[in-house]
Amino acid sequence: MQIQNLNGAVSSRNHVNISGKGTQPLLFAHGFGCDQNMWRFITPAFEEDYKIILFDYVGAGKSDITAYNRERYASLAGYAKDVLEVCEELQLRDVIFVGHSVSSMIGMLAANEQPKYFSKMIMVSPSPSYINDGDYVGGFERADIEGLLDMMEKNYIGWANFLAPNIMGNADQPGLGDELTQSFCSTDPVIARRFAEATFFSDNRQDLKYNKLETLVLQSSEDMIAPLEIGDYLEKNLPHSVLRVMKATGHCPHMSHPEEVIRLMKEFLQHKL
Amino acid sequence: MQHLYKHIPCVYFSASADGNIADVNEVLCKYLDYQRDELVGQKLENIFTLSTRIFQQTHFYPLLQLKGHAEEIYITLKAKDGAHVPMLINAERIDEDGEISFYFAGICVSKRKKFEDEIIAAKKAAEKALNENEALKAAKKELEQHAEQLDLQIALFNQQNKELRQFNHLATHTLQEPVRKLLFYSSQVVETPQDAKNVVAAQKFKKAIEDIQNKLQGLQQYVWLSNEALKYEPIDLSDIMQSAKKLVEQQNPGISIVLDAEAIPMIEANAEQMKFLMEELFTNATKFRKPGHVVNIKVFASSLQLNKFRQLPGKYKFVDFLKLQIQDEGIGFEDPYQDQAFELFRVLHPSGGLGIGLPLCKKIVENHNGSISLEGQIGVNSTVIIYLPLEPDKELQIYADMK
Repeated sequence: MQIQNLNGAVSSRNHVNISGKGTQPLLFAHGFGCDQNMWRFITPAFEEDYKIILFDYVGAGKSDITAYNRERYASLAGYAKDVLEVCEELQLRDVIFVGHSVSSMIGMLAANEQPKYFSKMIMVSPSPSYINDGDYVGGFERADIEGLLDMMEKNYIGWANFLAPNIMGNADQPGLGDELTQSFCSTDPVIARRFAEATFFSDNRQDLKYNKLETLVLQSSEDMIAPLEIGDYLEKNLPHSVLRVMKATGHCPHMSHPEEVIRLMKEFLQHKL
Repeated sequence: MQHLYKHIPCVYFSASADGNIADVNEVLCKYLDYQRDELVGQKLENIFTLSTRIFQQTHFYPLLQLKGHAEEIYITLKAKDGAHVPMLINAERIDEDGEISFYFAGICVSKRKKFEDEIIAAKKAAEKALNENEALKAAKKELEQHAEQLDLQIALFNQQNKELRQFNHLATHTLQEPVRKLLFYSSQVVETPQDAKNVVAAQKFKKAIEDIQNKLQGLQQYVWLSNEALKYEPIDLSDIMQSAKKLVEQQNPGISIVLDAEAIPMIEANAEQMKFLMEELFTNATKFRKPGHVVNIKVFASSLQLNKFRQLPGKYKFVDFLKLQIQDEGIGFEDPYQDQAFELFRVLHPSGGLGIGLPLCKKIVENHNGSISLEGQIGVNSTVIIYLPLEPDKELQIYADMK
């Protein structure tokens, strides 16, 4: 895998990585909880035919944490701005956007705002709103989320790395693998808590109707964060979408069942769905 | 060995790849008030609280899958009676000949948690006290308002600067040309009053005067729009478009406008200016139509959140905007000219009008703190893209009135 590191302001801020032999851009966006490394079981299958673009949202992974802005990232619109700024700087067109979890909605907001960059959308375990509301099954009550926010405050995964990215990267442990693992899913407790708030209290049900892109919705057969009702809701309310309920279980099918995700993505991209 | 791990003073449990509990030790059973048999073979989720389950799905599992191990993870386990037991856990993902297992070991941190809760509560109380300090709050609000006003002022300043340059251009170039023509033809008429050519000269004379008159009128409208204090009311743009269509059809006999519009969210705006805006846009679409008598106009509408700060870097406040795309199948234009189209008296097409229509549209949209741009392909279509705030900003409104 040939990786091209980029020097543009946005590219370094969002730690953009480009690989692959093709020209058709495939932009992967990670969800709440991890970073671009999440896609490592999926991307090799597309190396041959696509231009693969990976990035971290500001506040996640190896992004530039000094660029974090409380007001901007209080809203999914702020995260959508990251996506648009990556597209703008790389001068992308006809992007196939692949988003996991909350990134599905972030990608949709970005495409609603600037359709010129995008051609198709693949949503892995999406949800337009996480809180139960009347007949709508989001899966959670507000109080459930408060408990999660509390938990976010008390976890400091890779936090030290975050503040001093190079502190552990000494020569005693050579190899790319080791260097990479140290930053996996780094979580700054304050930023993670705010990302959790922006994610779980978001409600994008009213934005679905503006979707103009051909969209694949990949739904796990058992996902507590995006239960089956969500897939049904999206099938009814997201225009131009096709729903596939997978055998895969859990909220991260792209990590637990990559073969099935890859197969469905390829079928969708080759117009077989 | 069995005995050792059974009673080792830490909790221990393991699970298979699909999340079924494979084993638990006595210490865990004691904390959670379960018998071992009640847990083995059950789903891990049964002993995870809801927040732990979300955390497991979004952080814990990805971490184990990518890194193979995780340390010092704070989670809460759920006892038989529903009580939450706080734990600090280390975990390993072990691959034995393709069979994946997860091993967890940890300690109960009830006391530590109490302490930590107290620290966090104290921190929050301090933050709250800080935030609730009225004077501070008022000062902060004032500061934010100043930032917004400053942003608006910079926008206004930039706009006025640009206008000034355009007015300068108007005075030095645009109006000079008809004046030069007037002088030329008038001297012809004066020098050879009997010549038949003078009939033509007199006609051109008239045309040049009309040109000046039209441009001055446009200028007057422009200045009027600049000084008007806006009265806002709820507006249904679909209705306004329908009446604009009728009006433009009346003004252009024989022409029919086919309007295909999506549902448009209600906005608060100035009715008179919105009417003017739609009439101008439809007039433009009619003027630059392809040969024929039908003007096809498509309208796409959506609402979205945009940063209301347009000038100050690093300032964000996302508010609801209406996005309107008004597309006609006209003769289009080349992209590089799109900025110029909004400059006063800039005429892009030889068949074009006065060059005042689009600048007036821009003025109206900017009066509403929105923005307008053009996209298009020559010979195919052109699309006017307008962003308007769904609701006017009350505080900035006061400021606009002061202006």
